[in-house]
This record gives sequence, C-alpha cells and structure tokens, in this order.
Amino acid sequence: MLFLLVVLFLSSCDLNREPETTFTDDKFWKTETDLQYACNRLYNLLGGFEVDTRADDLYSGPNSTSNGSWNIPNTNGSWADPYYRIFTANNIIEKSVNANVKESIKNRYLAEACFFRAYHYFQLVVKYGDVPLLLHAINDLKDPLLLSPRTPRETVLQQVYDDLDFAAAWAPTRANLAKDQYGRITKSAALALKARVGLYEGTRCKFHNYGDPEKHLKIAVDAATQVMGEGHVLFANYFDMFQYAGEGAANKENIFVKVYGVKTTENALVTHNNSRNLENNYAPTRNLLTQYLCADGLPWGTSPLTVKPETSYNDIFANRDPRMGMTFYKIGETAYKGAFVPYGFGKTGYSIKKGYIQTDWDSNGKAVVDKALIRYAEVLLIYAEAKFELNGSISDDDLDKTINALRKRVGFNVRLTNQFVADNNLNMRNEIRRERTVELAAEGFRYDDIIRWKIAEDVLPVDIMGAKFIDSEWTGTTRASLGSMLSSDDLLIVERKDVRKFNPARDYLYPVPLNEISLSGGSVTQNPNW
Amino acid sequence: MNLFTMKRKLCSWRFIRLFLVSCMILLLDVGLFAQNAYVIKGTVTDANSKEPLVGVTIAEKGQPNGTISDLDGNFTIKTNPKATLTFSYIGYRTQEVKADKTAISVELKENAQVTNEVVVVGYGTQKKVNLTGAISQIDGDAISSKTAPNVMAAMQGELPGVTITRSSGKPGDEGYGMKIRGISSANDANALVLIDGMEGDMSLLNPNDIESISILKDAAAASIYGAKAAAGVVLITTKKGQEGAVKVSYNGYFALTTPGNMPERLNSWDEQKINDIARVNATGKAEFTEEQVEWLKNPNFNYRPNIAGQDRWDYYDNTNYIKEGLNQVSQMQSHSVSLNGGSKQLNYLASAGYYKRDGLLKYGPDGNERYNLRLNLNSEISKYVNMSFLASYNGSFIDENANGTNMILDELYRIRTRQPIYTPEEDTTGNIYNGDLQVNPIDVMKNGGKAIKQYEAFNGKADITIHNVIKGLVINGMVARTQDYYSYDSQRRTLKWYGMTTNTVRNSINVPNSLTRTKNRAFHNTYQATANYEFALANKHNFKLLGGTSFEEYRKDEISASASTMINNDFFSFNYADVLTKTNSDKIETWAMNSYFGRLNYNYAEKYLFEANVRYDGSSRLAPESRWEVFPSFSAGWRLSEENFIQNNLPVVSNLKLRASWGQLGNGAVLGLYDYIPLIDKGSSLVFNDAQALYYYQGTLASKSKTWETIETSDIGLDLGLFNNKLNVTADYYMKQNKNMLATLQVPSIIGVGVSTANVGELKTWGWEVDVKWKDKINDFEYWVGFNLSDSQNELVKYDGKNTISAGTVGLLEGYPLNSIWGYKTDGYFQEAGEYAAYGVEQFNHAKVGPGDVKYLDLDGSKKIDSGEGTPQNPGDLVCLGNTNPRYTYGINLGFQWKGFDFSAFFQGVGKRNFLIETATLAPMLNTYNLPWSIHQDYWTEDNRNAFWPRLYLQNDFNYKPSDKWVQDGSYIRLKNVQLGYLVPVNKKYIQKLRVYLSGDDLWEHSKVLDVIDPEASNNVSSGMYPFFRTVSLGLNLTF
Repeated sequence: MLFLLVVLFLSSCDLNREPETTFTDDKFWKTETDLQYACNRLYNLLGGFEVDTRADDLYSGPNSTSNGSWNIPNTNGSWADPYYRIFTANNIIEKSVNANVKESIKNRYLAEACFFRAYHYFQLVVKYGDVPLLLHAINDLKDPLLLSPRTPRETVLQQVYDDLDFAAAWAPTRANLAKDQYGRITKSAALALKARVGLYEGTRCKFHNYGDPEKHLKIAVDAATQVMGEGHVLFANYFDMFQYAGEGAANKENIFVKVYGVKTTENALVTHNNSRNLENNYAPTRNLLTQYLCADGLPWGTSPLTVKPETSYNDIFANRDPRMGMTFYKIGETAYKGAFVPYGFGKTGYSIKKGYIQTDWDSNGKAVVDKALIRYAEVLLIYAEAKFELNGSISDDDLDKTINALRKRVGFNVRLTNQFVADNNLNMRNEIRRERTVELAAEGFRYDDIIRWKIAEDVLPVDIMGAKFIDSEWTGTTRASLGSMLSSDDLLIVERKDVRKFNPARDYLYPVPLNEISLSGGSVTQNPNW
Repeated sequence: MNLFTMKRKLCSWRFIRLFLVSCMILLLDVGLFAQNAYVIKGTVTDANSKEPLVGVTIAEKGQPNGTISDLDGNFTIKTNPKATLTFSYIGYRTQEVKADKTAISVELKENAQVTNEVVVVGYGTQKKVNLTGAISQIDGDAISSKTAPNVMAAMQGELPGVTITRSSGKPGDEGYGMKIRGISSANDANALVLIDGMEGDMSLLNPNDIESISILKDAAAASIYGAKAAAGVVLITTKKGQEGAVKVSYNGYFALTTPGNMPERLNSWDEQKINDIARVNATGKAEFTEEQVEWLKNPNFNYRPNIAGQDRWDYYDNTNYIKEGLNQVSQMQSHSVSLNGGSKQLNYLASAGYYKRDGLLKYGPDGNERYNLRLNLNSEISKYVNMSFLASYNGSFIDENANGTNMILDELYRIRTRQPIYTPEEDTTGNIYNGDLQVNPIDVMKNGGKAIKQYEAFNGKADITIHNVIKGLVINGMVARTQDYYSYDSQRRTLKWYGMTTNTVRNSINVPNSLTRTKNRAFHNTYQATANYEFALANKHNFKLLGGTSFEEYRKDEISASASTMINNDFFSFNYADVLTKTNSDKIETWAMNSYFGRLNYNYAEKYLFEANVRYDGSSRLAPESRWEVFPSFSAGWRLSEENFIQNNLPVVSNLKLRASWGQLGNGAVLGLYDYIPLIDKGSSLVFNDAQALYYYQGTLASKSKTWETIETSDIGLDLGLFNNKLNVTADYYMKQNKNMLATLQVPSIIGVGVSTANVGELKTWGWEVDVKWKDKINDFEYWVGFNLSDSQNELVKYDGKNTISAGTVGLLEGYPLNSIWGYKTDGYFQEAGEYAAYGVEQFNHAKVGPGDVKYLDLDGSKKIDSGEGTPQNPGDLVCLGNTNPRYTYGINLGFQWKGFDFSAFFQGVGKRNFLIETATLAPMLNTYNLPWSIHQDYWTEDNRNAFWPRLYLQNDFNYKPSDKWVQDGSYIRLKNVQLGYLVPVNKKYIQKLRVYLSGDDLWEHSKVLDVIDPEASNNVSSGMYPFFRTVSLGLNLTF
C-alpha cells in the first residue's frame, strides 16, 4: 500500500487546475462570433438616455456644474467610465490579432472597436481637455502606462480622427448593413461622429482662441458632406422621430442608435425610464421656450406675433415654430396622467412632450424606445455651422440643404436666407445656433454647445426662469406654496442668479478627480485654477 | 421521487435501529452463558489515601465479563484462574492483575500526575508536559454529555480562546461559527477542521463518536498545517476500537424544547391604541374611531363589509398569532449505539447515531434530522505492520418552508391581531384563509410550499503504519476520500388572498409558482505519508523528527435549474413548467494542494524544550511561478518544575512550565480558485433585432501575484500545576499580525478594468487567555471547579484607506476594530413644549420634534445633529459606541460525583460586546405593518415621562437613530448546561453501567439586552430571527 501511495503521489501531484465552467481568455478571440461578442460589450456599455441639466435649457433642481458650486471630487465616473470602455476597445484591438478570420471581417470588428475608442476619448476631451491617451489594454499593474501623464488634446483628437477614418473605411455602409444588425456601427456613424468632433474642436479653438480652427472645421465640413452622400433622409414627422414610429433602419434619419428592447415588457432586457424622467426629473426652462421663432421667422419678443403680456399658460405657444408644440405640453393636452396641468414645486412649470410615450410611462422602468445618439438632422446642422464658421458666411443653397430642410420637415415655411437676415437685422451665426438649439432641444447638446461657443459665462450665471404663474390655470398649486419663487411679474424663478456663478478661467474644463492625480504619482496634473 | 427515497431511507433506518437493539439483547444472553464457578473476591483502594474506591470497573480481559466495586470498594467476580483482570477507574491508571488468587486487594494509582497525559497535535501526539505550543484539548465525554444540537454547540464556552457564536434556533441552520483567538482577517478566515486527518464539517458529526478535540491556537502548534492554519486548527479524533470483549454502549436522550427570548403580542385593542397614538402624533389623524375600537373588544362582532365600500372585509377580531402559529413545546431526540471490541489482531468500533429536532412552526415542515454511521477498524497484521480503516456516513436533512422561516416568523410577530386567520362564513371566494392587510402566515406555513436541503458525506480512510523495523522509526501512509452530495429543492406554491370577491386580490405570494433545484457532488481526496523518528542521545537529549508530505485534490460539480408556472399548484416538475421560464447553470470548482512538512522536537531531560515546524505549501489557486510558500514556526519551553531549586524549595508546585512561540500561518480562504487566469465574463443585457444578444468581456484583471495572507503569531504562555496537580492553571498572551491582508488596491481609473484585491492590508489582533481548574476529593465526594476567561481585540491597521463612517455599524475602518458601531449621544427626552425650540439644535424630523422625543446631543457645536464629513477625524455628532466583537468570553464549570450521583453545571458568557437591533424591529410603527409588541407599552406620555420608549410616531425613525440609548450591551451570563445523573445500581452480570440523567440546556441567562431579544443575537437582529430554544432532557447511558 505504501508503494501504491508513492505511485499515486508521483502520478497525481499535478497542481494545475483549469476553470471548467468559466471561459478563459486564451480560449477566446478565435472566431468571428468571438469578435462579435467581444464588440457587443461596447454596445452594452454604451449610454443612451441621460438627463443633462448642466446648461440653461433644462432644470431639475440645483446642479453644481451649472451653478458653479462644484468641487474637485475624489473619483468621478466622467473620468473613469470612458476608460472602462476604452480598455474594452483596446483589448479587442490587441487580442483580435490572433483571430482566425478573413482580414475584412476582422477589420469590420476592429472598426467597431476604433469607433468606440474614438467616441469615448471625445467624451473625455470635451470634459477634461488633455487626458492620458492609452492605446493598449493594461494587463499588469506594473505596466508604466498606468502612470501615463495627460496627452495634449490635439494629439488625442488626431487619434480620434484616425480611429474614425479606419472605422469609416471598414464598417458597412448604411445601405449594406444587414437588417438584423441594425444598431451596429456604419460608415455614416463614423463620419458623422468625425463631423461632430470637427465642429466641436473647430469652434472651440476659434472662440477660446487656440489651435487651428480651420483644420477642424474643414474636417467637419468634409465629413458631414460625406455623410450627406450616404442616402440619409430626414424622417417625415419630427414628433414621431422620437416615438416607436421612428425606430429602425427604415427611418433613414437614424445614424447611430442605442437599441433598447425587447419589446415585450416581461422580457425587456435593456430598458430605460425616459418617459417617467420627462414627467418627474427635468423640466425645460423659459429660456429654451423663448428660443423658438415666431411663425414669421422672427425671434419671439421682437416679432409682432409675440403675445404679450401672457394672460394664459398657452399664450407663449401662440404663433410659434411648429416644433414648439411638438416639444412641450400645452395646458389641457393629454399628458402623463390625463390633461396637462402645470405644476411648480422646484420645477419650471413647463414640461417636455418630445419623446414622451404613454406605454413607456405605464411600464415604469421598462421603457424600450430606442435613443438616436446621432441623427441626420444634427449632421445637417454641423454642416451649416461648420461652413459658416469656416468661411464667415454661408450660401442660401447650403441653408436650403440644411436649416431650411429641417424647417420644411415640420411645416415651418419661413426660409432662412442671407437676405432674410439682412432685412430683419438678424445675425446669421445666432440664427444657425438657434436652429440647432431648437431642433436638438432636450437631446443633450446644449451644455457642450455653450462651452465651445464660450457663452457659458454669459448664459449660466442668470436667473433660471420657469412659466408664468396663473392662479386660475394651475389647479392644485397655490400662490402661497410657490412663495418667494415668483418674480414681480409672476414668473417662476427656480434658481436665482445670486447663487449661480461661472468662473471662465476655471469652469470651461472639469476638475480632474483627486485620486487620479495622487494615484498617478503626480504625473496627471490638475486643470487650471482648480 | 426525492420524498419517496427519503421515506425508504427512513424505513431502513428504523430497521437498522431495531436490528441493533436486537443485537444488544442477544449479547446479554451471551453474557449469561459465559459464567462459571471460579469466584474471586477483593477490594479496591486508592494507593495514596487507602480509601476504598467505589464504581471501579473490573473486567476479565478479552471476555464479556465484568463487575463494579461497591460502596466499600468490595467486588466479586466469577472467572477462571488463567484470566487476567483489568481494574479501571476514571482519573486512575488502569491496572491488570492475574486472577490466580481468589482474594485480591488492589491499589489504584491516581492519574493526577499528568506526566503521561497525551495531547493530539498535528500529525501525531505529544506528551502534554512537553508541549511548547498553545493547545487546548477537550474530551469527547464533555461533548457528548450535553444535549446540544451539534459538536460546536457543545463546545461553546468550554475552551479559552475559542469563541462559539450562533445566530438562530432554526433546526439544522443554527448558524454556529467558531473563532479561535479572535479575528484573523478582515476577509474570510475559518478554522481548519480535521476529523481523523480529513477536512470535514464538525457540525455534522455524531458527538458520541468523538474521543477528543484538540484546538491548535498558536503558530507553534498550527504552522504544521501551513496555508490553511491562519484561523486555528481543530483536530478531532474519533473513538477507536479497544481489544476486549464486545462492549455495547447506548447513549440517548429525549428532550422537550421551548422557545427562549421572543416577543409577546398585544391584544387587538391595545395594539390599535398604540397604532392610533402613533398616527395622531405623526399625522394628526387616528385610524380607528372609538366605536371601531369597541368592536375590537366585542367578541361577537369580528368583521363587516368595508366601510368605504371597497371590495373587501373589515376585520375587528383579536387573534394571538404567536399562539396560533408556534409550538410552545417541541421535541428533540438523539440515540447513539456503539459496538466496541475485538482482539489485538483486529479490533473495531462501529457506531450508529440518529438525531432529530423539531422546530417552532406549528404547521408545515420545520425540522432537522441527522444520521451518522461509523466504522473504525484496526489491525495489527504483524509486529511491523498495522493497518486501520475508517468508513463513515453523515447525513443532514433539513425540511423547511420554501418561503423562508424568517418571513413567517416576521409575519407572526407583525401581522395585525385584528386580522382573523379565516375568512367569514359568508365569504364566497373559496379561500378559507384571510389575507386582507398582510399575507397570512398560517396559510403560508400550511400551503406556501416546502424546501428540502440534504447534505450527505461519505468518508473513507485507509492507514498503514510500519514500525519496529528500525527502533524509533514509524512510517505512516494514508489515503482518504470524502465524497459528498448536496441537494436543494424548493417548491413555491402560489397563494392569493382575496377581498370579498375574487375580483380583488388583496395579497399574494409566489405568483407564478416556481421550482428551484440545485444539486452538487464533490470529492476531496487526501494522500499523505509521514515518517516519525524518535531517539535519545546520552539519555538526556531526546529528539523527535517528523517529515511528511501530502497531496489533496478537490472537485465540486454543481447543476442548478429553475422554472416557473407549473402545470398546477401541487405538481412540481421541470417537465411540465413553462418552457420560457426555464433556466439552468453549472459550476465546477476544483483545487489541488501539495505540501511538505517537517517538525523537530528536542528536549534536554524533559526540562528544556524546543520545537521547530516548517511547512511548504503549493496550491493550484496560485500562479505557477509563485505557487509555493514556506510557513515556519519556532517554540521553546522551560519546565521549571523539573529544576531542583523549585522541587526543593516549592514542593507545592507539581508542574510549572514557561513557553514562547513565534511563527507564520497562511490564510487561504481568501483566494479564489483561478485568480491568476484571465477569465471571460458573460452578459446578456443587450438587444439587436429585438432579440437577446450576448457579450463576452474581461471584467477583472488576472492577479498573478496574489497570494496567501500571512499571519504572524507570537505567544507566551505558562502552565502551572499546584498541590499535586489538583489546581491547574494555563495562561497565554498572544499577538497576531496579518501583514499582507487582501484589500482593494487603488490604481488610477485609466486602467479601465476591475482589479482584484491584493496583499496590501494589515490587521492586528491581540489578547490573552486564562484557564484554571481545581479538582479534588473529600472521601468519596469528588468535585471540580473550572474557569476560563479570554480576551481578544483587533485593529484594522491598513485597508484600502477605508475612512468613512455613518450612523450604524461600520465594518472596515482604519485605526479601529472591525465592526465598530457609530451613533449619537442622547440626553433623555424633551419634556415640555418649547423645549426643543429653546434647545436650538436642528434634529431629525426638525419641524415636528416635540415633548417625548429623544434629545440628541450636539457634540460638535454645529447646531445641527449630523455626521460632519463622515470621517473619524470629523465625525460631526457621531461617537464610537463600541463594536460587535465579543470580549472577555468565559466559561465556568463546576460539579461533583458522590455515591453514584453526579452533578454538573456549566455557565458561559461574554463580558463585553455591543450590537444594534434593526430599526424596524426596535421601533413600534416604523411602518404601518410593523405592529407593536407588549414591550412597547411603556411609551412616553405626559403622565409617563420616564418611559423606556419615546413618544409614539408613525413611519419615522427619528427617535431610533443609532445612539447610546439604543445600542445594546450584549454582555451576558448563561446557564448553558446543568445536569444531574445517577448511576443505577444494577446487576453487573448483565449490565456494566446504567446511568440516567436529567439535563437542562440554556435554561437561564442574565443580560441587559432588550427583553425579547437574545443577548447572543447577531448584530442588526430583526424580528424574523428564529429564537433559541431552552431544553430539558432525560437521558440514558447504558453499557453492557
């Protein structure tokens, strides 16, 4: 028996044990399915509906970024989350080298990884400026890359352009994307993102006075022009663009979409709660409502069509750009729980209609309508703005292709032309920006816009205003309960300007979280004046 | 199918028991036939005092023949002249005498000189006097004499430095935990339990099978077990066969149990009064009118259609749910039979045990059964070779309600007593049970579905020992396997309670009904070889060398499945479940470990002792390049009592030894199975083309450098025996430092992937223990008193910069002990209107604070009660109110034996511990469904200003924030066991020993904890806690 024991020892002393019910990295990365499933993680991590109340268009209670009371945090998802996605992209780019698939197929998935790497680096640059640029997945805590310093934004953005060029070269076109793959990256998504980056950086350079605005604006114009050749069309109905009717490949306005579903609530896998958020979590400010033009194409307030003074809640909606009625609820319209009644406690009294879906609201947390992250309308606006900022002017022809096409879609038939601007003593830049703000209202663009236009210092430290309180109409809300929130002319002031500030020397960039600085051993530095 | 096999098993078990009893009767007959005419008479006396010894067992060696000495020490035995008689008596050395004379007087020597007492140590035994490590040992008798549910329960309080905790009285799920010398890691760390050299679960053992339990407490004792020994080692040795006539022993008891500390309900009108006052105080509006309260009191008026016209009944009944739903008395029983005997060439011990405990719930499954079988065989094949075999089976079966006993208890304690159990006679819904305001716990008990947990383990072991080939050399080889099987089966039935018609569902559970099944089987193989070599040089230098190696491998294979929507509410099978709801998963866990170990013992004339241990462990859990690690220890002892200057000057000292040790132990419990291998995770929260899509990703970096936590332990100790070892004292001081504890490693977020824990934390634990025993005899009155006391403290020196506190329990906080409790200071109640305004400090529920509310103290002068920055440096008004770790744990043991009677009492307790009670359990009416108990009647009113409870207030915890008012002083003393036994004088021809005893467990305790809560309760105890039982049992020990 002792002999037996010795034999057993010699034969069985193997200390290697492999996980048998968990997949290991060395067995992965072999087939096309592996690559696709690895890329699927990027879509899983992709954010969709996000409430953004940092600017002057939406309000949901005091926002420290908006009112300038923000501090340097120890950690922040705005810094950390994109890097989690970048790791995933880098890992795919590195590991897919070993996959035993055709080069074109491999490149198609590399295109997805490159697109997402660009997408998330752009988000980082928008908030932080210079950020550490990692193009490898760190696999070892001793990797010196972990202590990388911040890379200049120009270099990071060049990498973003390069990645997007690769993505545009290898991703399928809109027309070629298999129907069951709708939601995956296409050539137009890569080009549209490139145009967005170009416009952002071009205008930011221009108004903040650094770098080479022209280079970026040219990139924006070129990329937008290319997208405009990809067969995209504005969806016929602006309101339906944000409803279930606007979902899917059949809507050629969709360029890059976060897909939610599946459509039976019991089995819903990817869900949001946007319709409830619209009801409860944010409200448009008066500032946003005043942006909409009057039916004569002139700004509200200067146009003779302006109804003043407002004696009814709905007066502000009278004679306006049709998009206004598709974006906000009027009193008496069927809304969340029947006829809409304005309400004010801490809110503006206005309410968003754009994207509101009753069945989503009913599902309470299991809403599944898709979110268009890039739509063709934005590309048209990028084209118009980039053209104008690049040349200092824009042709009526270009305006017709872009801004006037958007107006036409909603039946707003006053063309924006150079003549119209001159005749009415308007400013073309303001009108282009106004069009963008109105068309893309409540879609999460406004904060980035006021930053790149360098107008945050003007538009943020002001009274944040809501609707006009009218006793007879605001069922259930008493004047007393609103208390000091009312101005002398009965307008709601949800946050007064004396508690709001914006430091132009500091607040145009986010503070780098303290832990990122200390854990990098000081190689990561803080943004100016923080 | 499962139930069916269970039943069959039960039947076969009954059969085995019947068989064993029949065997006993048969053996009695054999005893009858074995008599003959040669008679020996004699007396037995104590060699020192020359007093007669009562109850000495006199047996004919190798034969089933024996007797016991009487009150005068006299005995008579029929035998033959060639026989050898053995004289054995507890506390005395056994003597053998040839039966060649018909009159013998025998003197037995007391065993009080413990010089020969042997203690089980790692891979061997050691003379107690020569120990240099800290080891406590307890005899099997001390374990089996208690009517405790399992071995761990029986050990509570018995040994210094060994803290046993429990969390529930639920049969089979008592939640026993053992900490040896406090906390070894902020992460997981459990004592290594070896049963005859095999890792096992001590709570599954038959207590009657245990010969002894050794607890290896310091590094000197435990480091021979290296990477698994960090939290201490428990060595359990089971009883072995002894050569001689067949001896049959039966030990059994029947017990009645009754729940200990638990809440009492109020009648429905007193309950409603508290309910209404709480509502008035909070909202200004009572729930019931005076008329409605009258209806509650009226036994003739118990329900009516809803006042507001809703489709439901309003109930005005008065139901005592505790009485209706819980047993006041339940049963517990245990039976164990063993056979023991054989020759030198082949001896055996076979035993069978059965244990059953019924729970508290009056209806439905709530119980635990345990079956134990064991066979130990020893054979001396030749002068050189011994072999032994061991086979055992342990099975534990727990039946419970599928909805969880805690949920049912919580409902019974909390449902409104005005709710009746049954619906009115006129009710047409078809459901006889009422569940209008809350789910009906009686219905849930009866019809909510059942769950069965089964765990069965088979152990087999073969040992071969080669000795006498070279003098002093013993070689041992061992192969062992534990094969276990686990099954969990939960069937949740849908229950719905309606209003007046089935149109309205007032409450429901398990919609849809569902079935969950988990099954796994695992094996654990151990191969081990050791060599012992003992030699002496010049008669003074004594050496003992041990070298050994072992290899262990483990594999668990598990399948789980679940499904919903069965074909009906009574047939649970996956075959008929809704296809779309079916899920399944598998899990395979494997590990292997290879070890080399060695020990050197050296002593000079048994006076100066030295020991060194080393273990070299390699584990599959670690990366191949960093797989192996060394765990050493060194210890030394000095037996002063062997020195002439002590022996000459202090003759009262019979034993005095100083010991010191240092060593390193590993904690492997914290390691994952495959930490060093990059793993691919799977997710499915993704949709393309309106269908689920999968994604694979690496969620966490592989951790190649992760390794065992190393716990460095130092110990100094003293063993003292006085007055011929009548008084024994052992004292130790120890210090443990977990120097590379696993903690989260902070890295820049740009890494973009999860980082597993790394060996960067630090925990310090220190404490002391004292054990004092006195044992003496006055004539035939033998008595003993024992006392043990130990303390353990700890400090989290470093752990991921954990530095945040909030009101409540803070698990990890640097610079503090684990599980510290933070709360506010209070100063009674506000007594007058306006007092709060004058106080000028903003409290919780600011606008509504009034007379009868708790006054919190503004310690930081901020004029607001808050937690500042939430750090210990800036805690606002929070202060540390202790921690949940028990300190000053103690046990007191006293007893006597006199003329066949024996009595013992055992107290156990904790000197210092704090804990919190879950707020919803503490506060009456924290929610409308948290109904008050009888303890809540002493609440503040203008006429009762010194009330224990503050002003009643609905749905607000502002008076119940963690604070000095509510933190519980968990110190207690408990009468753990009291026992009176009597050795029935019977005819020794047939029966060697017959002892009957009456035993009580957990009968009494004293503490300052809130009445209805047991002082042993876990931190944040809730009203769903299953109360501990008090037990009274009648038992029988029978040997023939």
